Amino acid sequence: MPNVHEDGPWKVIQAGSDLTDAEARELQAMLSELYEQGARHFCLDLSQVSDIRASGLTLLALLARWARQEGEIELAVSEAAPEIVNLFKMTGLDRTYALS
Amino acid sequence: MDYDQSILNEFVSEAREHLDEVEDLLLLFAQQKDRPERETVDKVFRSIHSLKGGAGFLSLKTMEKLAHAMENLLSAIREEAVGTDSRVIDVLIMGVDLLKEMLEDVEQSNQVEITDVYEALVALTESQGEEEEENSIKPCSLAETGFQTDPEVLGALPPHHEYMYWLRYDLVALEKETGRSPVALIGELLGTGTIPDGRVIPPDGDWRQGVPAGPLEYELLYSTILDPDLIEEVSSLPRSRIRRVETRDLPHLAFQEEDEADAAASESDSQTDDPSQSSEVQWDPELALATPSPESPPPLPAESGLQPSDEATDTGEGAEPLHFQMPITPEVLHQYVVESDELMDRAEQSLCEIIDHPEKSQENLGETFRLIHSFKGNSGLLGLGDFERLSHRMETILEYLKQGLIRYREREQRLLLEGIDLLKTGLNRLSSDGNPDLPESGELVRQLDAQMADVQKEDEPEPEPGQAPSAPPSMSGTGGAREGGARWSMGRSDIRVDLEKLDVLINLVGELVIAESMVTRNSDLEGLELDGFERSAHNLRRIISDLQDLALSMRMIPLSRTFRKMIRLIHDLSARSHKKVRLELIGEETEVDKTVIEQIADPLVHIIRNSVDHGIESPQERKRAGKPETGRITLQAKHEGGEVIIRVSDDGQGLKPEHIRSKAVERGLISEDAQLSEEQIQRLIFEPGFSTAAQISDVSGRGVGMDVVLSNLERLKGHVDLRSQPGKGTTLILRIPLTLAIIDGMLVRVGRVCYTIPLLSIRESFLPEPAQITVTMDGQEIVRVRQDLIPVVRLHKLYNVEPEREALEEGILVNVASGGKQVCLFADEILGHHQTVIKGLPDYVGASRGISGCTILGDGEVSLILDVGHLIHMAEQSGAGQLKRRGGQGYHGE
Repeated sequence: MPNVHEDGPWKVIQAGSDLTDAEARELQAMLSELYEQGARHFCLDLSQVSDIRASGLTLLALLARWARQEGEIELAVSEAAPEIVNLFKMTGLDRTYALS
Repeated sequence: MDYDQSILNEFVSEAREHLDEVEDLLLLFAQQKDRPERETVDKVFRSIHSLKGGAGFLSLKTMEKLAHAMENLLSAIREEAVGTDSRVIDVLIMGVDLLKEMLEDVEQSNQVEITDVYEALVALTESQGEEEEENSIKPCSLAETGFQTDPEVLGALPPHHEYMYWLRYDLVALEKETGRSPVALIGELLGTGTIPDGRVIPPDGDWRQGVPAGPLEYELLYSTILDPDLIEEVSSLPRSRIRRVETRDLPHLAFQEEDEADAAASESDSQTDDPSQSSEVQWDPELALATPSPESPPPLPAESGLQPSDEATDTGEGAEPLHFQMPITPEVLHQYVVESDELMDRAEQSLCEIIDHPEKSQENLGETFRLIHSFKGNSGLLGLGDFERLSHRMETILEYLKQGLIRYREREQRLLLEGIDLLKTGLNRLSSDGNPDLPESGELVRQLDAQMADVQKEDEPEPEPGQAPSAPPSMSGTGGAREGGARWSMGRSDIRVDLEKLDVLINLVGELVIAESMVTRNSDLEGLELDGFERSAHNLRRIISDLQDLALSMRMIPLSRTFRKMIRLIHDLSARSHKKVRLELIGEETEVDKTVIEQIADPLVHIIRNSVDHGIESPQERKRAGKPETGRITLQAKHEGGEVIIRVSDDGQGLKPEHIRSKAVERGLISEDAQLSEEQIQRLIFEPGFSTAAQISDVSGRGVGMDVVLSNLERLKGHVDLRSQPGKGTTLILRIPLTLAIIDGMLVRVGRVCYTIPLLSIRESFLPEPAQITVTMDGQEIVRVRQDLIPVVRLHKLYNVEPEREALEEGILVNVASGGKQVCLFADEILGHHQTVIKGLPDYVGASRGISGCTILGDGEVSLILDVGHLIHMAEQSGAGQLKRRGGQGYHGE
């Protein structure tokens, strides 16, 4: 289950483990809830993530497309392992997600 | 792909030998009509297979393709699916002729037209059902891919990445079918290439409604060394999802193409006898990983959004271990610096002669081009990006000069000489503190680029004579006396010596050792008090001993180059087989006689091919078995007891005795009721034609290879031990005696015959007590040494000589060990210790197992040198009981 905390305007969501189908669904539910509450700055803490499955990537790609369309949404990723950073870069998602 | 000329020469020489043999054997086929002898077919097959493997390794693609087609046909002949009628033999001979033609100019072999013969081979093979698939990946322009990749990103791609593909995955489907996650896929792709651009296309839908099931399309540009034959396999995509991006769209390949054309043109018009000229060792991705450099991997501009971070981006997961395993050793660096200095000196000389001797300007430009080209290749091989980049520019300018696109004037000479100066300064720095950077080259590179751009535009008027651009800051003038004091401190210390001369020298030193012994131990001196003579003799012995050491060390070369070939091999094999394999090299500095090195390269290739193909499991299988996804192959070399031990081990699935046995029965190698121990079953893999592979791949599986290992080792009087544990891995231990060496030996006498036992193999010698000796039911004598029970080998029985002493307690037992096993050799007496020159037995003596050579004693008698490893092996084979392993508890023989 993802954990959430705040860092300035950012909602920092820490994924509890690899982004598998189940984890992706939980993350989606969490993000949806936060969005409903008015959050617009989402930072995914991926320090516990060593693999992202296709469903997890689908969610990330949908979020990226939506953020580009909405304009007011900001996305970021923190604490990602090198192979995860690679994934963002090689799929072009780093154009939407700020990597830190 | 270019390689060091010596590697190519070795390959050409071996390939010619193979083809000569093949030609003779094919003619034999004709006499054997429709059913040629299996052994003959095996030999032909093996030769063509070896040639194919070598050609593939050296990227001689046309040769590899032709040999592969011949191999397929031979395979069909072997399986008796195709007869050897005159048409088949004719086509095979045409194939041999073509291969020979390619070997005449191996570097141009890819240009040889093989279509007719190739198609004929395929047609004949297809007549029994096999089909050669044609490659039909469609081309497309960069614009058609829809990517608008930053030209700077594309321009900075490694020049050895000869291919760019557009790939389109459905990541959801891929994961379902293969279990590979996007992260794993990208890691794999980065192992064999670079992704300069990519995008994911999610399915339609609002994420707030949930995560759709797919598809998740992933489109990417993939820059790689993999040719179209391999990309389909490596990418796991059908052809419909692959496009080959046209080269003309790719700036990084523009120079590459010119470069290759230039090199080919230049080398055809000037040849010299300098081996360094053609050591066109090009950029090697594995090696380059060891030394990060500006061009390898390329620095992607930050603004592109694809700036690689940390170590993972370009090398990928699969390549990471190599980063640490193949450092540039001081020896390699030293060799590079020494050779480069020579190249630079000669390039400088040639350049300087152009103005003085305009009539020879073309010749000198060609020579300079070739030297700079060699330097560039060497620098690329070591991943010295700054050196490579500057020399590449210089090379291009030289080519333009050769072609007359620009005139050679003071300005050009100054630029080129300044380049040489900078490179020399860089070499100096590199040899003194290992710094591979050339920070001051930036300005010159820009000037050279500007010069190149002028030529490419072709619309700019030539500058007036003397109208030189502003001089770069580090310019130090022109002509000869340039930076004379800035030479590096290492100095040149190598000269090249004809190998034959070296052999004669070593032989003479061997004779000197014997002559010294014959003088100082001359029977005429017996009983004389000769103090002065003894002192002088002692001094002479010492000098001769030093001379021996020196002479022998001259022929000894480190295994590093042979081992280094395996890094590339592993890289290619793992890409082809979709397996992650990490190669660990231990003891690559171990020095081995040159002859040995020549003979072991082939066996090592075969062993490693088998390890990757049959030993290491796929990442998924390994994961299921609780192993790391990346398999490990360890290549280790060391000296032990007068032998060179090369150990190749993998942590794969190990040999499965039941599987091997059933395959051996199926292939008629053993009968169904054959009683074999597990070890004997495992050794069946060394039988010609044995293969457990369900499917033949271009990696291995044709049942050829492991018998090559055995036959090559037997040629060196070495042997191979095999250890395997199901699920845990397999280890092959190659033991090769130092056939050309001077070793310490113990001289023993059996009757009238003297034998020399290498001292390093001896554990102890002793007079046995009767109580120590036991005889087993089958007559095998066993001696108890403390807690160990060790079989006795009577030398007089083994070599059929008349002994002086028959009873064990009357003679002497010498306990010898090899490979963890030991026996006691029984002799009449020990005559003493002496330093022994091993001389090979002449060919007419024939096979002599258990003997590694002979030596001439001080009195002129010949003493046979025992090969302890073989003796133990022979004892095992002859049923001398199970041999005691070191550290074991008790004797279990029956």
